[in-house]
This record gives sequence, C-alpha cells and structure tokens, in this order.
Amino acid sequence: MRLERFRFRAMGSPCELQLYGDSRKALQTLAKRCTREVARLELKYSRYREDSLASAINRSAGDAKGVQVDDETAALLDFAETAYRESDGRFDPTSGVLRRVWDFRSNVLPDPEQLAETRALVGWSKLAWERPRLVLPIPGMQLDFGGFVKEYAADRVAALCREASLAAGLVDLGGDLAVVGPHPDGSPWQVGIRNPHRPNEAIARIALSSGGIATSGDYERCMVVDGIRYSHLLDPRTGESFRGGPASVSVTAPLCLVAGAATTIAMLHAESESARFLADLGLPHLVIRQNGTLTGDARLASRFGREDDEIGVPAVLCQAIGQVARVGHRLESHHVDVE
Amino acid sequence: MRGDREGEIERERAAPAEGIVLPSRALTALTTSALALPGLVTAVRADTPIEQASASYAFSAYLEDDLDSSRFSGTGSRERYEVLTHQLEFDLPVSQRMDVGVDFLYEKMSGASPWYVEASGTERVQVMSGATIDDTRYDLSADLDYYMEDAKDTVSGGFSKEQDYLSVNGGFGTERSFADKNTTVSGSLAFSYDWIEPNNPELSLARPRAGERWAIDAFAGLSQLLTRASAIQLTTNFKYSDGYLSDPYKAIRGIGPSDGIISDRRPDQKYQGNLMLRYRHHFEMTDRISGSLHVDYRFYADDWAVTSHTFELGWHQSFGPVTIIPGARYYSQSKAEFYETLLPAGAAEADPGDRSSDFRLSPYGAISWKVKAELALEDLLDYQPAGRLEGIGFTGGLDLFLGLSYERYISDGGFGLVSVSDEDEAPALVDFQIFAVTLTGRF
Repeated sequence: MRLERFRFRAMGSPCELQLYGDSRKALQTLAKRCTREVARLELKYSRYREDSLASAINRSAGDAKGVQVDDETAALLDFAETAYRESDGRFDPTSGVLRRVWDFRSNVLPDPEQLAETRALVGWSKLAWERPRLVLPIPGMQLDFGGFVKEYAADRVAALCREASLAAGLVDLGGDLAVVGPHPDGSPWQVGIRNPHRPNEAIARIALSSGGIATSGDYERCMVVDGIRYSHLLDPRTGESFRGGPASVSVTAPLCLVAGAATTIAMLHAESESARFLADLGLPHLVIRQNGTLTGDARLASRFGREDDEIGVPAVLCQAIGQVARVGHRLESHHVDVE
Repeated sequence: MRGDREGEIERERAAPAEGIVLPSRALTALTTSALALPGLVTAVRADTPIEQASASYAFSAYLEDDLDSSRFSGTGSRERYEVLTHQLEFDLPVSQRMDVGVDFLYEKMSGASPWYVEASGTERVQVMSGATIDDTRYDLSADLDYYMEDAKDTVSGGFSKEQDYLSVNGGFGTERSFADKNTTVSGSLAFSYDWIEPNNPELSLARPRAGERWAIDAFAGLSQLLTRASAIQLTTNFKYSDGYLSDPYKAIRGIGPSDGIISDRRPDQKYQGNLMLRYRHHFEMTDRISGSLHVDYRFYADDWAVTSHTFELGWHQSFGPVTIIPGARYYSQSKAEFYETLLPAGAAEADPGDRSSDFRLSPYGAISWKVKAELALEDLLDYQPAGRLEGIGFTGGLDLFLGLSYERYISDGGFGLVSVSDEDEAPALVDFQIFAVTLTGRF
C-alpha cells in the first residue's frame, strides 16, 4: 500500500489528492479522473466563463421563461434553497452580485445609491425555483454557485474514489476537504486549521476519519475605511459588510457541502452566537474569535496552545491549511520545536 | 517536546474526533437535501470503460513443418502452410461510459495443403495440392462497449475477405456483476455469414462454383471469485451452422487402384457445443514478485461425432516489469462419423454420401508447449495532452508493453486418449511452430 499525492490547481485554489493504493498507475488514472471531474464542475458552474451553465442562467435574468436545468443543478438548487431557509437568509447564492459594488481593493465604500439598486437584485425569495425550471425574474439578478460548488466537488471526488474501490484517501480542494477513508491503519487524517491572523500558520488540528470539513475566515480580504475594518463577508440580508462575526469557523459534517454551508452561515452570526448556532445545528465545530481565542467542540480540535491562549505562537509552520493535511499522519516528523 | 507531540497524536488515534451529537432538524434538512445530489451516495460501483487509449501491433509467423517424406505420396509439394499475420488494434475511450476497439488484420498465406490420401502398400500417404496456394486475408472488426452500473454491453461487427471467401459477422454481448463484483454472468449472441467462391473450380472434381453458409453462436459464462486470490469461470457455447460446410480444396479417393477421386462432402448442418472450466490462482510472493497458476479444461462435441478434450496449464511469473509465462496444452479428439482416409473399393462410383479425408476430422492427439515473455515499461513520457486528445483517453503518459512468444505444437494419432487404427490415422497430421511479437503503447 502506497500513498500518492497529486497536486493541481482548480477553482482558483491549490488542490491536492492523497490516495492510498497498490499500484501507482491505477492511482494516477484515478487522479486524472478526479481532476477531470473537478474541471467538469468548474466549467459548468463558473460565472467567469461565458459558456458555463451558470452564465447561461445569469443571462436569462429578466426572462419570465427562465431556464430548464439538469438533475445535478436542480439538486444543488434544492440544497441552496434549504440552506437559505434554514439560515434565515444568511446563505443566499443570489448575493454574489453585491461584489459589483463592494470593491475591497479600492478602499472606498460603495455608493449608497448603487448599493441600494444592487440590493434590490439580492434575495433567494425573489427567484422562482420549481424543478426543473429556474426563473430569475429581475434583469441583472445573478446566481453564484461559487459559495458551495467547491465543497460539492470535494464530495464528488471522494465519492468517485470510493466508487473506484479506494478505501483510504483525502481530497483537498483549496481547503475544502472530503475524506475517502482513514489511513490504512485506521488512524484519522490530521487537518490543520489556519490561524486567521497569521494565515501561514496552523492554530489547531482536527482529526477526521470520515465526512468533510470546511473552513471560512474573514482573513482573506478586507479594507479599512475611516478606521473601521470592513470584512469581505457580505451579509445578503443587508448588502453590507458583516461586522461582529468570528474570525474563522471550521465545521465537520458527513458531507463537505453541508460543512461548507454551515461555516458560511456561522460566519454571519455574532461572534458570541456563532458557536451556539453550530452546537444547535449539531455539527462538530471550531470557532476562532477575533481576539484569537478558540471556542467549540473540545472533542474536535487538538490545540497547540492552552485554552484561551493568545494566538500567535508559531506552533507548526505550514503554508496553508491544506499542508498540514498533506503532512497527514506523519505530522510528528514535521514538527518545529517550539520554546 | 517531540515525545509529547507524538503522545498526543496517539491519543487522538485512540479516540477519534467524531462525537455523538444528535442532529438538529436544520442539519437533517441540509443533509437530506445534500444527499439528494446525484453521485454523492454511491452504493453500487459502476463498471468503467478503459481509461486510456492504446494502440498495439502484433506480428506472428505460423510455420507448419514440411510433410514427412514417409507420409508423402510424391504428388504435390511437401512444403506446407506458412501464415504471416500483421495485426493493428486501437482502443479508445469515447466517453465516461463507452469505449471502442478497432482491429485490423492482414494475413499472407502460402504453401501447399493436403488434398487427399492414397494407399501405398499398407501405408497411407498424403497427396498434396500441386500449386502453391498464395492468398491474403484482410479482416476488419470493431466493437463498442457501453458501461453501466455493474454491467457492460458490447456490440461488435466485422468482415473478413480472402480471394475465395467473404465473411461478415456481428454480435451482441452483455455482462452483469453481482455480489460486490464477486460474481459475473455474461452472455452473447453472434451471427456470421460466409460466402465462398473457390479458386480454380475448373480444376476440380465437383468443386462447387460458389457456396454460402451462415452460423449463429450463443455463449454464456459465469465467473466467481472464490477467495481474494482465486477465481473460477465456467463457460459454454453452442453454435449452429448451415450451408456449405465442405472443404472445396479437399478430396477423397477409393482404396482400389482403379477407384476414382471425389470431392470432400460434409453435412449441410452442424451443431456444436463446448463447456469450458477455467481456474486461476494468484500467489503474491513479495511486493514485486508474484505468480499465478492457470488451469483450463474444455470439452467439445458436435453432431458430426467429433468430441474433444483440452487440458491447459500455464504459469505467469512476474518479476517487477518482466513476466515469463510457460504453458503446456494437451488435446485429444475423436473422428467425425464420415471421416475416412480412403473410401471402400467401388464406393466412389456409387454415391457414398458424406465423406472427408481431412486430417482435422481424424482421430488424434496433440501436445503443445509455449513460452511467452512480457516486458512492461511504464511511465516513459510525461506530457500534457492537447484537450481533444485528452477527451479520447490520452492521459499524458506513455506505457509500452513488449511481448515475445514461441509455441511448438506436435500432433499424432498415437497421442490421442483412445488408440487409433492405422487405417484411420491421417498422414497429414500437422506439426507447427508460432513466433509472435506484440508491441502495445498506452497513452
């Protein structure tokens, strides 16, 4: 039994497959099938590609006839609708259009008038979804699969591996992870959680032997205007940058898709309520507060620091969240001695 | 420090992360809708088409030994058949569910063939065809596999052309797997139609100007994995042929010195069936060294009264990229009911009904042994295939497989399971050898 790693770029992120098998050739062939599957989903759901289904849906905005979608897309839309309903509007794939007015590179707040116009295009409740027909009634309305298709792709790839009788492996699509199965000795994968304030460091480690894990953080991009930090997380309910939420949320769930939706929703809760929301939801989770302390499921995370420690100790050097997972159960050999 | 960390990891392994948390209604709703996504829950494994495009070239030389001078009548040529075969084969995956295979074969045949038998004292000697037969055969066939969950369907078709012969064929096959692929049943139905227009009909003794025949062939098989390392397969097939089944280039003569020579004539119908049992056992020796034992038995019977038994034994020994396959086969058959080396005196003049002196319908046994060496050179190249190529199975690597084989076959009336009388032993029983080279590229 050998472990083979396959790195590739897809969906704008570095991705990696770690697959255990007997034959390198067979693993290579499987890895190629996996990357083709990710590419297929990227081509289908990317809003940046004119020939994608997502673009076709968005072009239909304002057309009362709408578009008829295939089974896979219909199931994704059903999922989005459920997540919208269960999150009281925090999970909303129609909110992508807000990025047209929120430019985080400009350090300029959106023009209130433009923002108001754009907000009128946001809201899942404004569209008509009745399988298999989707109608975006307002011209300019947009649907963005970007918030969940990467998670779905991770689940798909893991399923593909299991279909091919693979028992041990981990799929990492830019930090959205799905487990094919634990290491051959039965031990779980060790997944590092990125320190939101020092994105190149891991703050905690999560052991995962099945299902998926997703992480959302506000560390990716923000801007400071008049001394106020505006996170890139936009609240679909208001159209505004969301304030008061946690710095990062990681959730494990039977499917990466579910974990991803849960992190998105949890990020749009006040910091003090985020962990409770996830606990009520019933999913193992780890919430990192803006002050750097951790809350969440004690069973889930193994901390490098002590409880409520100030974050900032370079416990493990890794470039990104996925890299700890990459190190996998050989993590012990990867330690940097910490004073 | 290091020690502490390792201890921590050990503890984590002992107590995995997943706690028992009752799912909320919201989570149930989310999970239920996520699980409705096609392709996320996979209880059954789909059969998969071939993953990579491949092309292969094979050359083989089939060389019959010259007819032994003690069995030769002196008429015709002792130099028997030589067949040189070139074969090109392409396999391409055309979609996630389909692959196609195309096979082209070119064959050059030359040499003399047994014509009829004469008596020389108490001995039987063979009269060979005078003119050297020179013929070419072209054969083109294609098949298309369609894969479903735990199943595969195949349609195939082809045609074959020689100077005196044209054949078309087609078939449909299906395969279904059960019990986690431990059991596979398969079945197929094939049809063929041949049109025969013998060369030089004017030369002959009632050699027909043209003939046709058709055949239908049904096959059923059952494969069962017995253990992780052994498997057994039972197959049977049944074939019905109708039409011109005689050999226009063979004849038979009477035993008397003044008896005539009349053409080969066989029944217009033939029912044949066989039953085959195959057993495979794999032995894993080390990481790179493994062997597998192949044991096969086949029973054949037809309504011309030919029955035969074939036993075959093979050993596949692999040392990393090299595989050596020695094997041996034993074959024994009984004669067809209308087979005779010579007709009784005077019978040729009266109509003797069906008759043939063809050595292939005679009682005999045969022994053959074979050795094959295969070399697999994997990952010779790493390239980025153009998008269109990738769509047809070019995955960006190159594997080469080289195969070399030699087979020796000898047959004799005395090798059979049942003793054969001198009158029945065909003097034309053949010995031959086959040299073959195969080169396959997988892209």
